[in-house]
Amino acid sequence: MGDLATIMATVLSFGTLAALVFGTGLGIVIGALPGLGSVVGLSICLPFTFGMDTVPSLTLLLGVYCGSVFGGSISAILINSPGTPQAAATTLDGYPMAQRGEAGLALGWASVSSVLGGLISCVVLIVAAPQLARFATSFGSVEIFALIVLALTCIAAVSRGNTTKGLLMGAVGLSLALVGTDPVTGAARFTFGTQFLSAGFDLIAIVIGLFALSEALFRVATGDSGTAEVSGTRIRLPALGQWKSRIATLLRSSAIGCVVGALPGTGAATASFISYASARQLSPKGDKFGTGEPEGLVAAESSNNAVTGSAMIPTLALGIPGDVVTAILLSALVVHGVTPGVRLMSEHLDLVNAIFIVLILINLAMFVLAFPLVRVFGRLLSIPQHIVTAGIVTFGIVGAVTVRGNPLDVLTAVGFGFFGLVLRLTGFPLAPLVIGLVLGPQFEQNLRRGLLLNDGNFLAFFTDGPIAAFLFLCVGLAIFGPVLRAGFARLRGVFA
Amino acid sequence: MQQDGPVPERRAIPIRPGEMAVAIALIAIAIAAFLSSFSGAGAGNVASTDSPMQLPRILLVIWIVLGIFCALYAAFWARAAGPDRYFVGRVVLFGGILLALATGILFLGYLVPMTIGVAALLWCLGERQMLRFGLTLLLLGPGIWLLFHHVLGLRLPVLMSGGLF
Repeated sequence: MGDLATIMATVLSFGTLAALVFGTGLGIVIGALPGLGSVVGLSICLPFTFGMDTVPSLTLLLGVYCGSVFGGSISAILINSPGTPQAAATTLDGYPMAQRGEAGLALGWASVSSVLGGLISCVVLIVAAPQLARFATSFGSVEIFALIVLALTCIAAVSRGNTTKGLLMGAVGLSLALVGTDPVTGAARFTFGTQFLSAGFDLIAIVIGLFALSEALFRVATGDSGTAEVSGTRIRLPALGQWKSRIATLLRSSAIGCVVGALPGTGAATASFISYASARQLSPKGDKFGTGEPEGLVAAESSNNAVTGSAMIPTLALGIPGDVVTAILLSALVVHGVTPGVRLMSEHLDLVNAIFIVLILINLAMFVLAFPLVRVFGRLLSIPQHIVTAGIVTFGIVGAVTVRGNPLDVLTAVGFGFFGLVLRLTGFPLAPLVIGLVLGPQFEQNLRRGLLLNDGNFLAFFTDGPIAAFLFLCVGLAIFGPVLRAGFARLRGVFA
Repeated sequence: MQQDGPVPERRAIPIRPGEMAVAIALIAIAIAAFLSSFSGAGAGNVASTDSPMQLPRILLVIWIVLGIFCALYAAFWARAAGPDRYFVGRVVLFGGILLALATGILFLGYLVPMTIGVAALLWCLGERQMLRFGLTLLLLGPGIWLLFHHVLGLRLPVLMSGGLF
């Protein structure tokens, strides 16, 4: 009881509530502006969190994350341009509704569905994460190592491009994480005699470079500088009776969002398209989907917001980020001295409980803030894109320079900005690189500990126990599954 | 004998030259790092039997093998991508300004290089309206510096140690 009172006092403090309102509002704005999105939003907000306590800083970042997922629907409905990839399915029915003159109602459906989807995922997170964490405390070094390999493999397997490119980026990320002083022997690795590299690359500087600065460079390279005009719109909530035939879609889509969100490397865009497709197949109004049917909007919006809570399940329970957003949240934890891992929930239970409450409050705040922010959306869109680009650069540089107070980190960020641009233009996925970088230290620590326990015999990892064996089997299936499937299909063709 | 129908177009090799060039560059970096791992390491605890470079070398070998696969894929097996047009000159200029800005912060602190750098970035991005230029510069240059350095208390690099700027 005393613990709960302490947590509530932290969550309801002025600093946390201010971070909640500011972060959620900013997230909605960032999400609504086409081209920015959750990752860039989090990257440019990181510098603001360095001087804050742990709970308010995470609140700010979670607010930006959840707000941006919802914000994407505003531009998807009003200008047929999803602010974030997660809101792409929202355009299918949202924009036709706006064209019919029902933009306010479409925004109403979107905001209620988003909030309900988000709240359902919070409940799933609160129920599932402690169970998973309790199970994970029985994991030894070998199991944790296998889990990290599985996470990296899954993320690589579902990466845009192909699996080999994803695996390559994962290997690059893991290798970059090993630069610096060896934690066991104290030997210098790839420091080339410089003091700067002895502590390794700074994770935040790399994230800022790869996402914020490379986004700015990408905008310049592709000449993305358009602005759009939109008239002022007010949210109109749908009547309660209109929900009767759509509540099943909302629950089903939220469930899909929760499941998809908990899987590494998938994300809200995948969830919203799966939910949209299943709602179209199962609904009696399926033939009206794509012409401005609110049920399509409910399916897309409830599922993409349901991802926000469930994506935190592996992050909080296992310390394994499922995507770039949760990797950035974990790196923010590291900045505040909290080590992510399977013991995060047992060692920092207060913090995790505070995150649960904060996520519920963010979803409620999102609903309240949507009303005024939709009305100023037209003005926000009139900000020229090149000024937004200059803003991304400024906040990126401030973030890189303030994280350790070392100006050389700015050079690191700029260097990785160029690297990120080249990777983007040639279709190499960035997510496995960052997740490899985040998980690198844990990967090495658990591998070496496992080798010590098994007298240096790596093959013993595969027979260490049923959990490790199962996880390695999943790794094999993730890598060779597509090849096996293609082989079986060819065999079937031969014998048919 | 005359053939009917369109003559199949020969695919240019490499199919995706940019992607192949990146894969080759990554392989070159990994090879350089692999070779350097034999010259620079081992200055730590010599009593330990654990080799600090064992895991990095394994990862670098995996990196090289995967890089070769990616290069071969981009050269021979990939589907040809549509032609992309990029503003190369402008991105080179923008990148140059970014690099100069980052180097300037090393020697001149935050405020001066950032103010000059933001002005150069805005000019490079095509901002020519004086009022908007000035306001944006004021906000993103000294404005952000004031917010972080003095209001939020997150110290940004200064020109002279202990100095105001």
